[in-house]
Amino acid sequence: MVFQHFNLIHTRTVFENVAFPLKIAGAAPSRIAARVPELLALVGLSEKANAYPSKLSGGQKQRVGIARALANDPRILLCDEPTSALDQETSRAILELLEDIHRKLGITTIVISHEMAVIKKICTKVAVMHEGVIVETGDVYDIFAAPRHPLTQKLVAHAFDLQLPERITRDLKGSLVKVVYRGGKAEEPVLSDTVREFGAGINVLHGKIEYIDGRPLGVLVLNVTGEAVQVKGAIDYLRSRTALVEVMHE
Amino acid sequence: MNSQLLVSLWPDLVKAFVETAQMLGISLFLSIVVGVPLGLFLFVTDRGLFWENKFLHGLGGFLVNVIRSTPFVILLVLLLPLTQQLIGSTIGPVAASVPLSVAAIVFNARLVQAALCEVDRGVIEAATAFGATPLQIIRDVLLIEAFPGLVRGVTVTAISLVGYSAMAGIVGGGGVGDLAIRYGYYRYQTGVMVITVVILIALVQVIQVAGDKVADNADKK
Repeated sequence: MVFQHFNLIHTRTVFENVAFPLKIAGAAPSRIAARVPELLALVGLSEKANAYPSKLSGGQKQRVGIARALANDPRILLCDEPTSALDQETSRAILELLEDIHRKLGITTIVISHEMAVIKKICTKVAVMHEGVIVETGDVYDIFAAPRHPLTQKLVAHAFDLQLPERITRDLKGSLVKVVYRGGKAEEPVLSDTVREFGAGINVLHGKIEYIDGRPLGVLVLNVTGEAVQVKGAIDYLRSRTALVEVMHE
Repeated sequence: MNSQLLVSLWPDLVKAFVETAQMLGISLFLSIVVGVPLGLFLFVTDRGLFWENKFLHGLGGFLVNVIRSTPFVILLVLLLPLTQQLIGSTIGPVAASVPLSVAAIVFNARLVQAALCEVDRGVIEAATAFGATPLQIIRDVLLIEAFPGLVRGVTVTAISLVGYSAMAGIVGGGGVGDLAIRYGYYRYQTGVMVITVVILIALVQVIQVAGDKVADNADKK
């Protein structure tokens, strides 16, 4: 298990901290002497073996925490908010280390996090918890593309951060729609097709393309203007060609 | 104060110092051997810990408080029958060590408990997550993480004992403090009092400096 606040023994060196779970499990001293350097090499801290935790940076402390968690070859690596106490650059490095370990050891890694960026970056499957209950599970890509539970919708909206200034929504003419593209659809000229078919005016107010697991996921906020029938036709057409269309304002 | 006084006092001083050392040694030893487990007991039976037990925690805390709230002079007299039983005498430094030890054990137990409270709960949580048993947690986490605090607690206990041991003179315990009271105070020999007080100051200084050194060396925070 990897902890948010590292939870290292302050009065023991990096080596002794990593040796701790081995000792608890009753490993022989010779095994400890062989295993600990291996683990420290894995997390890139070989030269810090004799340092005390207070001399390490946050990222280095978390590396010790990860090495310690891996000491007894667990089947599952449980990480409780592993990057929440770290700055962005260090967070990125720790997440890359977790990915790297996952690739090298093939270990199942469970990450508990409130940071959507963490989920997006390293997870393949996600379960959303609300008040101690799992409310939604699925592939990360699907959850980001089509969140169902209100909490998930809020979290995903937060991750995309598509807030419009109030001035724009107040003076808006026509409809405001949010369009989600998935996978290959993101590469088709859907918008120009819509304009040509229905003669409606389309203005892009906000948008973003995220790559999750290497697959593109696009979200656009559009202002559709024109005759009522044109607008309705355009929205229906968009609905048929994209993953999700949500009318935010009519 | 002249050198003649010091020379004439020298045998008494040496004897008193040995007696003080004896009282301090015995009671400090017991305050560690019994006080540390007692402090551990108070800590691990507290709320949220692995041997949580409201009744035992409350009972232990109450008994400690009863002894702690009894003025030491009273404790000295109250424990005379116990001393008689244990040692077969109520006079001398060894006999005086009985009430001193009782006071030192409960005093140190509270300091041990306080030092353990300073241990990061997250570290205990981590040890539990790695499958450590309560005894392993006590040995490999609690006592190790709290060690600097434990040393500081023992230092405070030792210095308190220097003061308490002076009172032990009242029941015939002897020691440097007793010498100060008998010669310096009752006989108005200010010179003797000054010498003994200087010795006590030096003793306290040595204990404090030594304790700080050990604690600082162990403290890696």
